[in-house]
Amino acid sequence: MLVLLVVASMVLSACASAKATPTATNPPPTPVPTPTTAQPVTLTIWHNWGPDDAKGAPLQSIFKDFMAANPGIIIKDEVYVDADIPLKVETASAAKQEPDLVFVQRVGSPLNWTEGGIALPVNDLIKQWGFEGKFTDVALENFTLADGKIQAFPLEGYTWPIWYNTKVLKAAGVEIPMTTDQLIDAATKVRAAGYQPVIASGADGMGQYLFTLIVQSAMSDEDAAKALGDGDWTIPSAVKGVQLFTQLRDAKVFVDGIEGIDFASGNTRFFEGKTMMSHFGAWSFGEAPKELLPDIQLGGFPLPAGSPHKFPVIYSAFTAKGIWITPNGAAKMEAVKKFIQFIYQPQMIARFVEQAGMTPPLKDVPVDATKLNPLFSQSLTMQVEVAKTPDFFLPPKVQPNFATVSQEAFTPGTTAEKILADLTALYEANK
Amino acid sequence: MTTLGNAIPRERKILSNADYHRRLARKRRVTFLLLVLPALVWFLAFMLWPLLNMFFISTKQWDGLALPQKFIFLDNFARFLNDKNLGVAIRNTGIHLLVGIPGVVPFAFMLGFFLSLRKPGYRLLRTIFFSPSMISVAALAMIFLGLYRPDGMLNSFLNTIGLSSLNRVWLANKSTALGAIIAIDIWSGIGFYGVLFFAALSSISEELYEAAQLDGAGYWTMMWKIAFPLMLDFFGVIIILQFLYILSGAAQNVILLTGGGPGTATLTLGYYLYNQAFLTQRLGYSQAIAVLIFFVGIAVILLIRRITSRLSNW
Repeated sequence: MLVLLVVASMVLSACASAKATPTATNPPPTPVPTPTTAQPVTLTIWHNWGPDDAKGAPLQSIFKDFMAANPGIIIKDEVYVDADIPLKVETASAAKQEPDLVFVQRVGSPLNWTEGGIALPVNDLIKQWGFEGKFTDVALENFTLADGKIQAFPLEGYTWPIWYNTKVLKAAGVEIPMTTDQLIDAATKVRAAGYQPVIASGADGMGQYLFTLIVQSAMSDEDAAKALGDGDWTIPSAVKGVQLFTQLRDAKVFVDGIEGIDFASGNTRFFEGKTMMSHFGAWSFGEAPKELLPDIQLGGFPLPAGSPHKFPVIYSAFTAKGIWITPNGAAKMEAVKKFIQFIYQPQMIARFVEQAGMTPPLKDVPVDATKLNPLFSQSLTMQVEVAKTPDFFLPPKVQPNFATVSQEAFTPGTTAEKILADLTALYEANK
Repeated sequence: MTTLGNAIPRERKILSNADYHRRLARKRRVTFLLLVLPALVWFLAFMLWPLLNMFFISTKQWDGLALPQKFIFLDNFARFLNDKNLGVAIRNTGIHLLVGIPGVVPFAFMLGFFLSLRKPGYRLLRTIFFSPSMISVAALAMIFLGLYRPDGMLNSFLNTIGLSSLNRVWLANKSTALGAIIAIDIWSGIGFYGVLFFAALSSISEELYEAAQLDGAGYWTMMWKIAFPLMLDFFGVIIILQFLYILSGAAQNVILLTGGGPGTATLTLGYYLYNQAFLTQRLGYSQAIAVLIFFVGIAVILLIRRITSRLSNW
């Protein structure tokens, strides 16, 4: 069980100092531009960090600086919706028209990319390009297949905590709940004070993460792996976890009509300051309104009595984004090498950390603590435990349909027995 | 200068009548084939070949575009027997058909008949009724998302008229989600098919209606006793179009609005095919479902044609 007293242990060793300097073991600094007469090489990159994403600006600045430092290489980037990228890459790959590099999360079909020849394993490249010992162990583990192949260069990690609005809690006269009993009490008082309690996206795929987080608050890591991974939803702690979920739902802990609320409207309602709690990932740190920041306290989900966990639970992983090298990219390996070595310079990764609150994949990243997003800084000091992110355990064929069960679970009237039966049926149907 | 030799016609082979006709027929056949060839090549390359591929892939285990395929013959079809979701999808599609065809076609016919009377303003009404068909699928989904949201227009309207007890989370409630999806198809289908009926009904001579009116027939009688029998074949075509739309095309609203949920409340055959192909990445099985839909489609089309032709003769 990984106690995440401080997420910083896996992210920022240099964060405590106002401004640290790159260590001697860092990859070589930005090369000085050298005039070249050869034909320029174009690196095509597909990603989803567009102008609306907090990571878009630092990424574009890195592209610009890279091209200035490497006049013989042109970056041609195309922005797509994250969920669309895997299929686009797979169809393009069939026509050998795939981009050279893909920035995409390690969830769903990309898990098959190494086996299918759409992306190259990077184990050797990590050694040959001077990155050995540079990535955090957990970042590499999160991109490693059972056979030991590392599928991509890890780029973006995340924490996925519970957001508490202390102003709403104060208005209701309650503290941040640490147990589910306290949560039920707080929800009742918050409603009485004219606010709504817990908001989540019950209507779409994001809701399944809160569902599984609540269920896991009653389960050990071993039991969670059995239930989520093997589909054994008959084990007592899984039954207890699902019963806890329905108990909370029936106690009106969630906002009214939660089964119809999608992620975007959930975000909006929390940021309007009308709800007590929400479940957003680190990617939303940059979206929080400034006037709300002083009222937000990050933490974990409260625990039920008899929980095997010591601290409230959250998710944390590094699968949010990796840089995948395709066969087309391999044909331009020298240019790819230069780009990878450039973007993984600690000072480049620091741009993402400072400007977008991204959890970095490298051990040593020199950041200016004064520039950090206050929520990101807060996330480094949470007293929480990390639960199993479903993405690691759900079988690939179960994962896309898990949300239909969780959505039904959010719907009032759905019994724990029905949810457990549906979960079992879902795994049976997708064996 | 003209010479005598040039003026004498060359010897020509005199063909018998049978030879002449045989040669002409051959020439016509070749010309016909040459004219048909481009369309034939197009059909073979872009219609028949993909169709054959559908059958071929349905015999494969193929768990992702990036992964290798394995020949498993009829195993995907055998899987139908144990697939509870397929049963749910068939049931939901059946409900959709049972509501979606009678809920659209007769009303579209009535709308088309009304428009064909060419009352003042019928051009404007025709445009208004046809407008849902001009809205893109995604925009239509957004409109209904706004309508069905917990704090959306429908619930707000119910609140306004004092029926807040009827408030529902329409797309997330098991008992209302499928109905909400079907309602979208009915809303957009009546106008579209109504305009098609209008075009077809325009071919009926006005004299027929005038004669009927002289005999004391009202609009209702003219619509069902004159226009309907004359439009029976076209009625069958519209039923087939609506049937095919519901069988596969209607999945677009499920994809955009509910993802088959909550649970399996809106899981239809068309959506299940999409789900297995693009989400679950079970490509071979998805094509087995496509084969099922293909044969069900053909069988029902033949049935509808048979019924409408019998009714026409009767």
